[in-house]
Amino acid sequence: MKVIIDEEMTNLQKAQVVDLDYYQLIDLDGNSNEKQISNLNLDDSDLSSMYEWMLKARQMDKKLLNMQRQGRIGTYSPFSGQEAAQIGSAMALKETDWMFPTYRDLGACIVNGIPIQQIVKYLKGHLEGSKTPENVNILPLQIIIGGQIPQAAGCAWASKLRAEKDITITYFGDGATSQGDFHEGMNFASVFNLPIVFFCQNNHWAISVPFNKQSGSETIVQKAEAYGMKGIRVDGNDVLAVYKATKEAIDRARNNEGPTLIEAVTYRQGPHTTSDDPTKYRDQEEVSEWTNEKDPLVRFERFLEKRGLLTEEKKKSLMDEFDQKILNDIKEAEETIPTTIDQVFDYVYDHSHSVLQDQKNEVAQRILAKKGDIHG
Amino acid sequence: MPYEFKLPDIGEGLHEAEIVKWFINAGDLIQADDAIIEIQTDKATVEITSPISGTIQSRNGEEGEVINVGEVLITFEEDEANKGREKITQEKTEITISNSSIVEKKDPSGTKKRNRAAPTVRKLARELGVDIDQVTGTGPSGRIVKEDIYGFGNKNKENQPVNSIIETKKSFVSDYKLEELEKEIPIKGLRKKISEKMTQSIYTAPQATGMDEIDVTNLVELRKSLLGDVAAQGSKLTYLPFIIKAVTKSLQKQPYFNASINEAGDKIILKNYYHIGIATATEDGLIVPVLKNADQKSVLEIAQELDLLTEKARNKKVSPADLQGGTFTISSTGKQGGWFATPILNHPEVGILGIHSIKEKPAVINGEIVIRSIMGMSLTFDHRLIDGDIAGQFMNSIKEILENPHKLILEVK
Repeated sequence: MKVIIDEEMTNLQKAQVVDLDYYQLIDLDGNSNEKQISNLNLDDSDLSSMYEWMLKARQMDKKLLNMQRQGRIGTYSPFSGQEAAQIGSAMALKETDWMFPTYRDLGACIVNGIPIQQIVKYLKGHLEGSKTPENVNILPLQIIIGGQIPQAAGCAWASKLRAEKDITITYFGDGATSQGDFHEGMNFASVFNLPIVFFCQNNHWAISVPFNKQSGSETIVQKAEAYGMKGIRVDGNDVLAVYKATKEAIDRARNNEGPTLIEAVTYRQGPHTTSDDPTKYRDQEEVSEWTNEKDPLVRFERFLEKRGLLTEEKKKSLMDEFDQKILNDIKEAEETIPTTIDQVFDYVYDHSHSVLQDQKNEVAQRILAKKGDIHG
Repeated sequence: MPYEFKLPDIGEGLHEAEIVKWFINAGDLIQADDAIIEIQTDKATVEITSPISGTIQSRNGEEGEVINVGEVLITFEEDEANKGREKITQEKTEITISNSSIVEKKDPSGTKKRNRAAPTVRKLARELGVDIDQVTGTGPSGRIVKEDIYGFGNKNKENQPVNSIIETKKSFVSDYKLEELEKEIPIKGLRKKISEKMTQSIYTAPQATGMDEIDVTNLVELRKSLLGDVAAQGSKLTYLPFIIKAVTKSLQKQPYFNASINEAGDKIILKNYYHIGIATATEDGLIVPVLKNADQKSVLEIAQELDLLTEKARNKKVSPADLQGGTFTISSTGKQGGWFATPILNHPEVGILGIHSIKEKPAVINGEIVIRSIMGMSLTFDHRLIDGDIAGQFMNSIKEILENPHKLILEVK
C-alpha cells in the first residue's frame, strides 16, 4: 500500500480548493469593462436581440402562468428569473446543434426555433405540441429529472462517430445533479471525450429542497473535476457572462477538446410548478432580492440604457409588440381542433404497427361504448 | 350568452377551493389577465386572473366559502366590444370517433375468438367444469366475471359433481367483491372541517364532563306565561334564551370558563366579552353560529336574534362572521338527544354545555314524592384550566338561575 507523504497531501488539498466566485461581465448596476465586452464580438443588434428574446420569454412565461390559473393549460413550470441563463446559452448555439431541454427551459427552446404556438399546444395536451419543426434539432421536453443527460451524451457520441461538427447541449437543474443519470452522462462524455456542454441552471431550489441540502459540495462546478472535465461557474443572471462561458465551452467541444460542465448561478422567482406554494419554504426577503436588484432583465436593461440601446419608450413598444404576437399564437393554438385520443397510437412508429392498431381499436370501441366520454 | 368563468382545476386533481379574497365587484370593467380572486386550495393560495376583458355581471360565493371545481365563479355581461373576442373553451372537449375508424380485429392465428375473462375466472370455470366459451359475459366490454360462471354453472347443475356445487355456495360470499359490499365516500367540505376541528379539540385538551339534573318546573311555567308577549313581537320564545342568560351570568362569576389557552400552552386568556356559540344541526352537518355580547342583551333580544340566526343557518346564509369569535358554546340536543351526553369542546374554548330534553319525573321535595319537570345537563370542561370543584360551582350557578328564573327580575336596572 502506498503511503501518501505530507507533501502530497498538501498538494491534493490545494487541487481541491475551488473558487466560489463566478464569472461576471456586467455588475448589478449595469456597469461593464469595455474591453471584455468588445472581446465578445457581439454588435449592437446582437445585444438588442438578446434582450428582445429575454423580454419575450418573460412575457410568455407570465402569460402562460395566467392561462394555467384560468384553466386554459395544464400544469406549468414557470422559469421567470432564469432568462439570462437560458437566452445567453442558447444564443451561443448554431442552428444545427442539438438541444436536450427540460420542462423549465422554454426560454432556450424559443430562441432555437420552437414556435410559441407549439408550446401552447403542448401545454394544452395536443399531440401536435410535441411535433418539433423538421429543421429544429431540439428534443421533446424531458419531465424526468436528469433523464435527458445520458441521452444527450449518446447524441454527442453519434455526432462524433459520424464526424459531424454539431455539438450537443443539455439543460438541467441543481436537483438533477443528485441523480444517477447525471453521473452516468458526465462520466460517459468524459471517457469518450464527447462534444457536449452540460448546462446546469443552479436556481437554488429543487422544489422545496435548498442547495445546501441537495449536495455536500459547495458548488456544482467542482463536480467537473471528479469527471476530469472542464468546469465553469458563471453568474447565471448576467446574460453576457453566460454567453461567453457557453461560447467557450461550445468552441472547445467543436474543436474536439471534450465536454464542459457549466454551473449558471440563478434563481427561480416563481413556484416550482403551478401546484407548488413556495411561500411555505422560502424566505420572502430572499425572493425579493432576486426579483428586484438581482433580476436578469433589470441588469441587462441598465447595461443597454448606458450604451444608448434601450429607452423606456422602446421597451414599452417591444412589450406591446410581443404581447400581441403571443396573443395571436395562443389564439391560433386555442382554435386548433384538439387531437382525438385514438391518434396517440399513430406517431409511435413511422408506419402502422399491428399491436398498436389493436390497441387503437380497443380505445375507440371503449369511447364509443361510453358515448364519447374519454375520462375514467 | 353571457360568458361564465368557472373555477378551473388549478392543481393536479383538485376538487374544491376556498375563496380568500375577491378583487372585483359586480359592475366592474376589467381587462384580460386582471386579478379577480384569491383562492386557497389543498396545495397553495393563488391568484386567478380573468381570461377575458369585460364587465362583471355577478360573482358567485363569499369570502371564506368553499366552492367546487367547475362551479361558476363570475359571469360577464354580454359586451358588444367583446363579440369578436377570442373564444375560450374551458369545457372538456368531447371526443367523437366515427365507427369507420374501427378496424375489425383479425386474429393472427386464425383460431376462434377467445372470450374476455380474467385468469382467476378461467381457473374457476375449469374447476367447475364450465366451458368458458359457452358463457356470455356481463362485465365491462362483455368480460366474463365470476358471477357469470356461477350463473352458468347453476343452469347446468345436473352435469356437475355434487361436491363442487357445495363448495361454490360456500365460497360465494367471501369471493364477492368488497367494493360491492362497502361504499367509499370522500370526506370533504363541512364534514372535513368538522372532522379536523373535533380531532384537534380532543387531541389538544384533556376533557372531563360533569352531569346534573335541573328542576325547571318554574321555568316551564314562566316561559308559558310569556309566550304570547314574545309572539306579539313576532318572535318565538324557546328555553334557549333563558339558558343563554343563565350561562352568561355564570360565566361572569367564573371567568375561567370564558377563556382559552394560547397555542404555546403557556398562557390563559380571560375574555371580558361573552359571545355564546349555539351548536346547530344543518343538512350538511353541525355549525356553530355565535350570539355576540349576550351579557348586554335582554331575554327578548336574545330570542329575536336566535330566530334570525336559525333562519340563516337553515337557508345556508350564515356568513363567516356569524361563525367566529365565540367564547363558550351551548349544545342543545333537544327532544331526541337523550338525558346526558359528553359534548366535545369547541376548540379553543374551554367549556361547552349540553342541555337535553325536559321530562316529567318524580322528584323529592320536603320529603314527599312529586311530579316535576326535569332537564338533564352535561358540562364538558378543559381540565388543563378547570378543576372539578370549579366546574361543580359553575353547574350549580346555572342550576340556581334556571330553577328560580323569577329571581332575574331583581337584577333589572
